Amino acid sequence: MAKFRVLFYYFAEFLLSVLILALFLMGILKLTVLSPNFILKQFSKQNYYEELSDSIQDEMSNYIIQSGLEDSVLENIYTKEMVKEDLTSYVTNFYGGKKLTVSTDEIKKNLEDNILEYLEKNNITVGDQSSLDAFVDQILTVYQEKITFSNGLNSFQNSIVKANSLITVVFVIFLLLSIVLYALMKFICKRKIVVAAPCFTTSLLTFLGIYLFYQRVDVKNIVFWNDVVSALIKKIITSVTDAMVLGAVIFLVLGILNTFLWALKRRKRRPSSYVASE
Amino acid sequence: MHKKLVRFGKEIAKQFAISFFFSSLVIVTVYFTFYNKIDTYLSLANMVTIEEKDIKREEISFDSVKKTLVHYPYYGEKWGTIKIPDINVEAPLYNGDSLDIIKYGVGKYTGSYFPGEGGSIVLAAHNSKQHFGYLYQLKEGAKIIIEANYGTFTYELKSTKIIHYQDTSQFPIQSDKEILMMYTCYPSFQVGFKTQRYVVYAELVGEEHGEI
Repeated sequence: MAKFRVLFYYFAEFLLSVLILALFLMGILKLTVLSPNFILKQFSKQNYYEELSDSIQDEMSNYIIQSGLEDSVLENIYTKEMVKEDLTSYVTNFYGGKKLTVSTDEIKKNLEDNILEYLEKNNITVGDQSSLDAFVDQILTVYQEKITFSNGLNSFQNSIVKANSLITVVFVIFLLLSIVLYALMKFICKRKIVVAAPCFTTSLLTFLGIYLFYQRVDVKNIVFWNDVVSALIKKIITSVTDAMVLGAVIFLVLGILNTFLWALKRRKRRPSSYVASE
Repeated sequence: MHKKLVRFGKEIAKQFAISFFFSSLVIVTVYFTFYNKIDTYLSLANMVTIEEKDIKREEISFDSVKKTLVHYPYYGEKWGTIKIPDINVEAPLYNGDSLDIIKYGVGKYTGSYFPGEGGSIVLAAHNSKQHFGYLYQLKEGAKIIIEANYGTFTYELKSTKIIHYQDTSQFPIQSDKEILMMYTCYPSFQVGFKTQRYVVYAELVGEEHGEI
């Protein structure tokens, strides 16, 4: 019976290690890449709203040269606050599984007013209104595509929403399993449980995983779409790995603390009823 | 207290040993179960990384035997000047024809050949006065001169067309004959987004180029 208790103890401890590791990784995911607040925080840290606003202006001005109009028609058609609002709304809807649209009504009105003013000021008669309408549509498309990353993320929305829900369910199940396992260990083994090994395992595997990831992926040289988005992606990756490192350190400290407390409180071994594992 | 510290040290060592063993089990399990998937995802992640290297910049030069450039200009790099005397145009030539590039001059479509290589050359520019705004005024026989870093090439206009902006079939890329195709938005100086392009087709009639 004592041998069974020993075997069960270490088997359960291994399972507990795996469960704690899984809970930790799921927790990191939920708090970082699967959290709209985390993503929006990275946008702020990287000054992404301002850089995006400038990028939109640069892109729009590319269409001015061939339009016969001047840069002045693009002045004040949108503001940095509008960009921030639209991007925040887009990200929130993306994670919430809602429809991904960017309203450009206000921009359209501002642009049309500016064009009309320019035409009147310069006494220009428009021969073909459809070409002007096409120009306005082109400018609005630039704005929409910049906010929505050219709709490149739309196909991932369903996967992200499902992953989010699945992780929540699995997290709760694993947490309950961990508690049940801990209770079983206490009941069957009849001893004080030291959770240091599961904590150390989580810590060790996290450090190893981060090290191997950085060995394999050249994060500082990521180039995706443009410089602004590349910098944002690098920032998100480093923030996630920083959070993982912090978590790994906390687990390491918890493990040491748990062992220390166990060592302080441990009584002399009783002859027959204890698990002979020490 | 000393005994407790010793006990603590022994227990820590034991717990680390157990955790190393558990970690090894996890690593072996993950390796045999998920290695291929993890490897694929990491390889995909690496496809968007570009390592910065100090590359020695080689001068653009032309091999007249092989009829090809030895070193090509970078994307966005200036490689020559285009002159169209009949419409008083003298503008820089860049490699690439994105909107960012043709803000500054005439852009060459990167999927087309360079002058002297004996194939199709496609150039694009805005219909502004200093670039291709008066392209529509060119008549048959008009001369177009390209002064590249590696030689000077003269073309003679043969024909023109007005096409829909999405009709790319009017720019056939071939390597049998050196044809210069230049296009811009049409009509010039009209307000708004133009859905037509004015295209001129010219053939090579003279060349002087540097050799290696």
